[in-house]
Amino acid sequence: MYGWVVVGIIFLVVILVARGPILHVLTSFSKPFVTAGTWVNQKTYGRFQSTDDLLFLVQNLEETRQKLAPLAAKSVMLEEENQALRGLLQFTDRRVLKSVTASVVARSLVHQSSKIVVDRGSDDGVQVGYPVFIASGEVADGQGILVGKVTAVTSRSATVTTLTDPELTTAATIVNSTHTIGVVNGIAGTLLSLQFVPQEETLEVNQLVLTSGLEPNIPSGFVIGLINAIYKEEAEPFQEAIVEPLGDARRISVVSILLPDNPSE
Amino acid sequence: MYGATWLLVVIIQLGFIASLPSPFSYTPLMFLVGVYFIERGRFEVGIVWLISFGLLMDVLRVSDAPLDTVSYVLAAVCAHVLVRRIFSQRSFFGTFAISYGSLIILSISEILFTFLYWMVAPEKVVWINTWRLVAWRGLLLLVLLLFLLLFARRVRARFEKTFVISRL
Repeated sequence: MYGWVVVGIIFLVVILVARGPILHVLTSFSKPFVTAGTWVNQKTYGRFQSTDDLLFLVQNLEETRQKLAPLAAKSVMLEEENQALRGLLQFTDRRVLKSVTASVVARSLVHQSSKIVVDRGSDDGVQVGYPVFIASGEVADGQGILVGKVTAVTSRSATVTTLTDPELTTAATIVNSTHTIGVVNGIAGTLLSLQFVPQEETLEVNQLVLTSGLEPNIPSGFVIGLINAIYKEEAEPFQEAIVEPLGDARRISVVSILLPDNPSE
Repeated sequence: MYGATWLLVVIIQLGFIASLPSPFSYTPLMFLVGVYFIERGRFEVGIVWLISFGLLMDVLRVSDAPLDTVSYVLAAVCAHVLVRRIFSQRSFFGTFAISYGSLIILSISEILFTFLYWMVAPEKVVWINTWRLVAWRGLLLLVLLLFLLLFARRVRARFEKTFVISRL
């Protein structure tokens, strides 16, 4: 019996002391495994969903596409006009934010939490609270889909809590005429809940939800998701919306971590 | 050699399996290998295997600490007791009973921790996730056990040959 206790204590000490090397080995070798698993996930996406769910999804996408097509055309025209006006006014370019690219090396085993471990840590400038997102090209305000936030960090790795984790709360704003603000947090499955939206605000399905920039280290304009459903009780002071996140952490193997210029505690 | 194998299975579990679509991401490979070692009489290896996995999960903070270390300790102790006291003869049904007995203890422990967490922060606990995990993990363990029945001898022989170790 005492032998077991001694073995246990020795092992506990070893694993705590060797935590750094273990994480280093894990981050070095697990990338191909994560990539392979993510590839399988992407290739089989939707195959394990019911027909009703898929039909609902297709219908939803069709509606969204019809709404977005004219907006996309308008966006291109506005972008060109914006560029021309900026040129005329000699306006300074939008600031490009610093970020580091990180590979996913481990994921949580789907319990109450939804977390991923990435191969960048404090040695790369990553700190707790920094936003993690999917980006293409340079990262400026409003370019990128928010995936989660760094919630724990070691010298060579960081644990990222994803948006769908019930523990994570993010300050958000809705793209509507009044730029309604609210708070987004994870709920069951892969959806988010937008809360603390006053009753008098007008919410609509398929409205875009972005980061509001009202919390430290997270700039405004990063995409969170689209409003999927609205729950409005007249007796309640606030209404609630269900938001479908656009960044699915289960189907990505590479993310970017934003490094704020002036990090705040 | 066991350390290298442990690391490989950890990488497969947390890297590959956890990236698979649900419900396949619930596959308890690490758990089954640990229980299998205990069932084969390699008590130290199996117990250390399971506990270290729970500890690693907590170190990586991919779970609700200290939920996993404690749960895996209880599961390992349960497997050990079952092998020593009840299912001492090696058979498929023995492996089956030990695996499910330990899994039930692991699940009960996780549910209890979740319940305690729910008492503190009810808005942060989504019970459906817990029930889904418990149900699917139980089912996938059965699939893994069937694979074990079919291929265990071949895998063991390859393992012993590769690492030049005595019989498992």
